Amino acid sequence: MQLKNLMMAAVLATTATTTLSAAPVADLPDLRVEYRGWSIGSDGARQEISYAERLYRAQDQAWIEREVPAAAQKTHAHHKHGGLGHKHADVAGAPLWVQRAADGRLTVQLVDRHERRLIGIEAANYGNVGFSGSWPESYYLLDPADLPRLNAVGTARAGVQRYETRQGERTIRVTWDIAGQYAREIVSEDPNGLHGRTIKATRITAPTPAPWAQLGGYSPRDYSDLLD
Amino acid sequence: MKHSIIASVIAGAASLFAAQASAAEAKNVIFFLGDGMGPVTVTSARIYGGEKAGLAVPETYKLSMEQLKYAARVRTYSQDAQTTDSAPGMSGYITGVKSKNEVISMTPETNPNDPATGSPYLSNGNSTCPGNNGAPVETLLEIMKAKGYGTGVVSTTRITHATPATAYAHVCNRNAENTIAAQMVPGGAGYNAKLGADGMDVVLGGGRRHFLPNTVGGNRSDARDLVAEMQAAGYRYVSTGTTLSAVNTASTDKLLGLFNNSDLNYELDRVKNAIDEPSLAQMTEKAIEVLSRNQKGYFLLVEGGRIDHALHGTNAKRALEDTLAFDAAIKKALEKVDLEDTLIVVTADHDHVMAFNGYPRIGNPMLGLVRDYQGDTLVKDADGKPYTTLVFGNGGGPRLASREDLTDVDTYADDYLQEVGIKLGSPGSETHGSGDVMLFADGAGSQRMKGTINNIDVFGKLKAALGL
Repeated sequence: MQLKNLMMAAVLATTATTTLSAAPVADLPDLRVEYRGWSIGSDGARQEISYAERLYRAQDQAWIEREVPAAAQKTHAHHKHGGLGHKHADVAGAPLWVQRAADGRLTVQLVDRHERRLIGIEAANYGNVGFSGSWPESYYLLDPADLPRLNAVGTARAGVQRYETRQGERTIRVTWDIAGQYAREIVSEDPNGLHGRTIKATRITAPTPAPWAQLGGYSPRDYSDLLD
Repeated sequence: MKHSIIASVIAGAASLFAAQASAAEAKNVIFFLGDGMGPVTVTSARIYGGEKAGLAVPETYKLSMEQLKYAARVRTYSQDAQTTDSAPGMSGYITGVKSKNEVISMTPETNPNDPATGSPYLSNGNSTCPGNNGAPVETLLEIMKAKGYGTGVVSTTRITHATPATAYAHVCNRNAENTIAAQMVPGGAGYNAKLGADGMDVVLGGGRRHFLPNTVGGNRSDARDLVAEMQAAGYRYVSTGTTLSAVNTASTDKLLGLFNNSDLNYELDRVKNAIDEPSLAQMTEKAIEVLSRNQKGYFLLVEGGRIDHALHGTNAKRALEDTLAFDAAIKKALEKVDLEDTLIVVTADHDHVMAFNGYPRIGNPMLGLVRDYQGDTLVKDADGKPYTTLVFGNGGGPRLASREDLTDVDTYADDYLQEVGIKLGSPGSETHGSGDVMLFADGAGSQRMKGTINNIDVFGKLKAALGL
């Protein structure tokens, strides 16, 4: 479970398990989503992790792409895979392309740019690519159907509605962008200040053409090709 | 003098036993291979099976494989790696020869990749192995085929995947699955002539994509339809669990079943979602029925191949469910055969890096958090967080600032992924392990299967049991 999925799980644990999703909205903003988690252990050491993803949203499809600095991207000069190679596949942080059919079924593919492969991910393997299996969680960062079960804090102002809920000792605060249909911020903290997690989303402009329109020549593969 | 008389009697008896050893004891051999099914997987599947059976003390449960009379401990290293992959892992058993990682039933010097460039001898599923790169090594299946035995391979993976491929194919790189598929088609281009004029008798598994042209959803770029070619060669073809059930094995000599474009579904998903694919036990039963029609005897390889895949994904639940399905296939075989003339061997090609954490109490749920054997309380790490019994030494898990607090996490959920030590990043990247694996055996000639042995030793023991 990735940091973002942990956060979603925490929020959802405070609500019923309804899976209603909001009606698709045209021209929803594309987002840069920053994930941050920190913890202070019993040895007093503070550990922190953070990363960012770009989320491009269109009608019934979402493209989730980790920001990986060029210097951190693995070079593959010494690996040539010959098409169906199962080993050495380095797709950590590779973009995830999620499409939703009219009947709600999802098609999830990992985009291996190095090998120019579209790796199909079946539901049994969602966890292995950091996908929770929930369309609304991926698309809106928080299922809008769960908002009514959170405690609204005041009234909507400046385009956002704030919510708050508690899970055990933790307090979870949500800032919901009403027009943009996404969570601007989700913060989870424990009362002792020993650990916390945040998700922060800001609007960005999607590239043109869309990333999913740049997959010509990619060959279909499946997840089991990554195994030996 | 008395002593020397006794000694001569003993010597005579020894030579008598030696003579018997060269005679056939087994008419049939069924070789069960749990891919990646190391000792920890066997033990945890035992306890998990005991839980599912409702035992008060699930640790006392006995898997079918554990009820076989003989056991051995098997070294699995390959020609060039302490940690083998499935290709040389199974090749060692079935050829008696060590080969390099990724090589399918070839001589030890064979390279899967160009040594100069590192490029695999492979192009889109097709072999590009040069002719001077090693030579095929005869497999037990080929030896038995030449002597008139029935032969078959059954797997929950693609039937062109490494383990089943070692029985009937020879190629320098395991990923050349289009080439591997062509090697089983009697009379077709690329056919392995060692499979005789008519080929194997039973082929059941997944991997349809390597039999069909890429114009109809397959992976083949040569426009060949190997399913049609197999049918033309006399095979009855089925593609669902339902149609396999309907096969009249009393009148079937050649059976091909390809039940998925790629691997068959995990057992957990197959059952939960009522997917029309056969279980490994169903495939094993049909295979035995068809092969039993051969009066000479038969060789059957049965692979529980997706145990390995779930372990690569650090998904213990699916791994254990598939291990129990593998065990159910062994149980079915034991019901179907006569151990007086049939040798059953169960083993694994390699271990994984799944491990047990201590010290859970008796009856602690196998997939749950560790509860202490003394106080029945959650055992916690240095930061006060509980942990599961099963974890992995490495894997492609998430990167977190610290261990997740699992107190309120459902570690029994189908998709729960166990925690890993060393983070390898990519999904499914958990590695095999180098530890010895277990081997269980029963039936005709099984008394040879004992001690600490090398995987390539098993080949000779199988041949000896068959009197070959």
